[in-house]
Amino acid sequence: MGRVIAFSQLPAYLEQVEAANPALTRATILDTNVLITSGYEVRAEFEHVHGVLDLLNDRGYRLLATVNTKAEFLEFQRRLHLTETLLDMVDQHSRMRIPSAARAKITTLKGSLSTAVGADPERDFVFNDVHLKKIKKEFSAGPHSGRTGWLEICTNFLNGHLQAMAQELEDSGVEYVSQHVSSQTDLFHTKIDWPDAMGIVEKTGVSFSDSMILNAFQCSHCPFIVSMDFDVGYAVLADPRLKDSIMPDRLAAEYRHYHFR
Amino acid sequence: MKNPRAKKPFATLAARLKAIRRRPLTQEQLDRLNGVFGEMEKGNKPEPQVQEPRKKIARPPEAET
Repeated sequence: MGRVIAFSQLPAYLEQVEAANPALTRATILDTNVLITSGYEVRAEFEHVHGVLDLLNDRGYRLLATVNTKAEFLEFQRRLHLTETLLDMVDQHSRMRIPSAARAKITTLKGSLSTAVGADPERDFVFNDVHLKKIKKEFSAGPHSGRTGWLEICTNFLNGHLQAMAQELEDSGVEYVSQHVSSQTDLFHTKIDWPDAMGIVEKTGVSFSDSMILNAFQCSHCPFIVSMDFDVGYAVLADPRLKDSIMPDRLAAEYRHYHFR
Repeated sequence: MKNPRAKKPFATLAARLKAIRRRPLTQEQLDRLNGVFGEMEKGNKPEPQVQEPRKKIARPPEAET
C-alpha cells in the first residue's frame, strides 16, 4: 500500500526517500491531468504543478508519460487550439468572413459552453468533440463549392502545430514509456501488459486510462507517481502492490476520510 | 544533477504552447481562407424561386347550382 503525499510535502519527502535509498531510481510517471495542467495557465493548480515538475527535473528525475497520456495531452491541445481559433473567427474584430451558418453555430455553442462552465467552475472553456463535430458540419462544402472550409481551417491552423506542441513537452523533459527503448530497460522490472491493467480495473473500478498509467507505475522501479486524479490516489491507498502518489494538497486532504488498513 | 532531457523549464511551457496556438496567419492565408468561405456562403444560399402568376381556374357551370 502506498501513501498520498501532498505537493507541499514533496521537498521533504524527496529528502527522506533519497537519504533512505541512495540507489533510488530517479524517475516518475505523470498522469494526463498533470501534463495538461502544466501547459494550461488557466487551471487552478497550474503554478503548483509546474513547480513540482521543475523541482523533479532539477533533482534529476526522469519524467515518464504513457502513450495514452501523450494522446490525451495532444487531444486536449487539439480541442483548445480549435476552440480558440473558432472563437477568434466570430470575434467582432476578426478579419475572417466566415459563412453565416457557421458563425451562427459557433455563437450558439459558445453560449451553451458558457452556461456549462458557469455551472461547473472546474470545467475548461474548451469545446468538446461533439461541439467540434457540429461546427465542422457547418464548414462542409455547399452545393456549389468544390472545397471544404474545414480542411482549409485545419491546413492553416493545425498543420504542424501538434507536432510542435509534442516537441515542447519533450523539451521540458517528458519522455514516452516504450519497452523497446534501450535507455528505459532499467526503469521496468516487468513487461507492461493488458492482464495486469485489467486486474487493476477489476480491483478498484478505475477507468482503463487510469489503470494503464497505474500498471506502468506498478511495473516500474519508479518510487512514486505524480497525479491529479482522485482515483489514482484511491488505487494507491487500496492496492498493496502500489507505491506512493504525489498529489495536490486539496486532493491529498480528501483521503483523510478513507481508511484502508 | 538535472534531468538531462529537460532543456526548457515547465514554468514556460504554457507560454510556449500558447505561442504555437497564436501563430498569426499571413495575408496570403487570410485571403485564401476568405475566398473559400466566400464561395461557401454563395453555395449555401438557396436558389431564388421564380413565382409564376396564378392561373384562374374556371369553375364548371354545375358547381354554381
